[in-house]
Amino acid sequence: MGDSLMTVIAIFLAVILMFLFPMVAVSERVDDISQLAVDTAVTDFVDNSRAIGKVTVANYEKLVNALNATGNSYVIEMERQVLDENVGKKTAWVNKDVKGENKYISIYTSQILDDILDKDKGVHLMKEGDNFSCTVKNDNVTASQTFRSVFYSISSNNTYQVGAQHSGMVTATGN
Amino acid sequence: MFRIIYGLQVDTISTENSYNTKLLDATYDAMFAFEINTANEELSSVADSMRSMILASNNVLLNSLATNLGISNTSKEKLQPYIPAVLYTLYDGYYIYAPTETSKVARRTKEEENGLVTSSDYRFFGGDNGTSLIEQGTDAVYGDILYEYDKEKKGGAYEYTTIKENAKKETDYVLKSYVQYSARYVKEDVPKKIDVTINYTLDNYLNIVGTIDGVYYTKTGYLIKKDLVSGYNESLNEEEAKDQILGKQDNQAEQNPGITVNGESISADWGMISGALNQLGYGDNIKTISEAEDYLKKAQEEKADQLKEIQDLECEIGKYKAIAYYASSAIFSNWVYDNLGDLTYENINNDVMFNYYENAGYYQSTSKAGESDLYYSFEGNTTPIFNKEQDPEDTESNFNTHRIEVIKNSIKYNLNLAISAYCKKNDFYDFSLPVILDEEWDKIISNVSIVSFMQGWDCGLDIYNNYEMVSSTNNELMVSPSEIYYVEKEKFNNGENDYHRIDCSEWHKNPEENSIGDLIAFKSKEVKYDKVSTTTSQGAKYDHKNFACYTCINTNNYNSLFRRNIDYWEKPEKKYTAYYDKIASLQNGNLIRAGYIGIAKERQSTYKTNALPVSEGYKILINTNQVSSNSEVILHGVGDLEKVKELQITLQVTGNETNAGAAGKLQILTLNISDGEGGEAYKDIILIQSKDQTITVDVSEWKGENGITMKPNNTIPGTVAYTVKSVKAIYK
Repeated sequence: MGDSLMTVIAIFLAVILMFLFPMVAVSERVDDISQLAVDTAVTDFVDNSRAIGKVTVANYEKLVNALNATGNSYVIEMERQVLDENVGKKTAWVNKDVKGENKYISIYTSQILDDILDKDKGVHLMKEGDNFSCTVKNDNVTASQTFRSVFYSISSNNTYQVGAQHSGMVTATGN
Repeated sequence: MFRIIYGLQVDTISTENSYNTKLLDATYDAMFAFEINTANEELSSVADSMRSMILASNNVLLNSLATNLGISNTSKEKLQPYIPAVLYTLYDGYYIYAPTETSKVARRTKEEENGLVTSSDYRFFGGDNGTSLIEQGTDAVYGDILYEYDKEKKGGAYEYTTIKENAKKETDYVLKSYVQYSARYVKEDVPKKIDVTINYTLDNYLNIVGTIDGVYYTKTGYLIKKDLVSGYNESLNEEEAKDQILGKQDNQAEQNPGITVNGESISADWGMISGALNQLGYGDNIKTISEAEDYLKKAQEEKADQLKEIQDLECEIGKYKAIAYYASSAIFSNWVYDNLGDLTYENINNDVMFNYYENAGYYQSTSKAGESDLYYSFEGNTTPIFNKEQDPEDTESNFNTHRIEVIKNSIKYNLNLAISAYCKKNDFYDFSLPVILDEEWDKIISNVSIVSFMQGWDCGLDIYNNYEMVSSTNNELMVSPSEIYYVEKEKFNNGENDYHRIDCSEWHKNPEENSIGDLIAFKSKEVKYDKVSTTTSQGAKYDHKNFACYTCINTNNYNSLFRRNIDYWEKPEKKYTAYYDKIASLQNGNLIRAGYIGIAKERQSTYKTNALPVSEGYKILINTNQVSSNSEVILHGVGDLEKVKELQITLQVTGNETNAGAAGKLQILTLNISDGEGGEAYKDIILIQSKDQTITVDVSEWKGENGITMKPNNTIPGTVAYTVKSVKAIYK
């Protein structure tokens, strides 16, 4: 009896050691690779957009394709901070170095998508001095997240495993 | 194990990405520095100011990059080896900042850093007598540049040499000399023999120098569509037409010039200018438009409260400049279509480049790129460059396509040379020219741009090799049509109203208020870099007080006809690629006129660093001496005078009349020059012996089919004769 119990425990341990741990390790490597791909895609997307001064449908699709290739689903959030060129009545400024504060008006994902997914337009134009940022997070539960939830109770569905963010100033006025 | 490798790869790629971002930001800083410098510099007043601006911009690039990479203390010197080249494309040419091998100049003291040999140096170096430290056999004289002798490679015991080839070499990071976007065209066969060099620019401005049918031309101007403009004086050449309209030196500007552009008549009113000047208290005693401009500047500083007069002046001066632009461009363009209409793509003479790429050895330093990526061959392409039927400003015209390929060829060739040369010097990393994408080329050759290359930097598992490009729309050097802003004359600088782009939907926002008045145009650069102070005074000098429109300028994201507009096009299905088509499709006549005036005024105001001093052609007709006393001389080879503006006849008085030309006995000889068909002129020469005298005969109305004859009008005293040394025909 004692032997059978030991055998069952041994088999159970063997399963954990031989299958479960490698699977957890592999699934985490998969997420690492996804992280790599997502990082690259987001940085490329933002840097390209701000260098040419526009978010094009081609660039956006490239980003989406790169993200889809990782097998996860993602939330893409974009924000463009529009620099307000009007800094108040400049005549009031006596000091030549001061031209007022730079104010920004923000435009978010849905407004940008409205422009780039419009078939007549296909592009969202930005101007020099604006800021453009993009944040990407996975919104599905990856394999490694599932496995981890078995072991750690802190892992929940609200945390993301793969995510990247990049931002920068737009360097050219798009046209 | 895998975890470590993956981790390293993730690190590598994120490091590469961060380097990209840092390089882009540093390049942007460099462009910003360049823009500020051009905005505050009078390009016309400082010779070679461009070069110093580029060097300053380059310092910004390196320092900013060093700071971004976190190596600020060692900064420039540490970074330089990783920057194989920085490309600056300007309006009419480009600079490449790259390391170059130079001969090491001998230096004794700080004061003599220029390396010039003075007489005392010369003896010090052992040049005069005693044991010579200067290489034997070189005829070193005072004033020569002395180099350090390369003992290791050349052998011998000298310390110095004046022969550059035997000198020690060192690598210096220098801004290489300016390369213009130029190409030579040679056409041997009928109907005309053409051998010209054309300097292109980022837009349709051209410099043409060379021989067409034996006439040596120097021409400069904007190429526009044939028959775009009418109502100008076709008998003048482009410089004269411009001078007549704007007035020049002592000439009076044309009073109320007018012109028709694409069916819209544009006219300017001199009364408006003189009236405004009177109101401002400057008096109307001016003759030229540039004087009016000086007063306008003065008024903006001194009498900013008299806004209406300033608005009138600003608007009317703009019209004058626009008319001058259109008249001179139309004349120049007609000349181009008439004289160079036969040129085709294959007439381009680029043997140097062709031979270079034929030699397979030179491909080695180019990354994976094939020949076609590096070099666009025009061989066998018989497309005409200057096609009368097309608008050269259309992005899809032959002219534009050709211009772009010529510029690309030139830049790629020199960039490749610079990077290949650098590759040979550095054995720690194999530098190569990355392939620049087409969409980036579009940006590079339609705007003033900086392209910075960074290679060889270690980042984890990989070695960094990339470039970043930043292009500028706010600079003094060129005019981009989409970066011209407009405001109604009555609202200009009033501190209340907005300024817009020409195609902004706000113009049509209020249908009841459909009457749009005259517009005043200015470049985006003027708002971004307001000239608010001078070096001498801290006070506000001039400021743009209108506000940027929130539809077209602040968000820069609206239905624009410079992009893909659906609201304001007459034919939405048609894709307009030419500026004049786009403007013509606007719905309001005043907007259309403003669009035509705006671009022309800005182009006319842009200072061209490469403009040729004269715009004409000449041909030496007779170069052999013809002697005559009292008899008639026939000026051979003059032929058809249709395109000839004037004849410059150079004469010398010979003969042995001793009193001729002596003090107190100066005598005048009047010559009669005629073409036998009504064209006749009388010109005086002074009887001074053995001295060249040139007489200028205006023959613009002459025919000259029967030849030109010249004879003395009165009897020549004694045995005096005159010799015709040369006849130079000046072409329009």
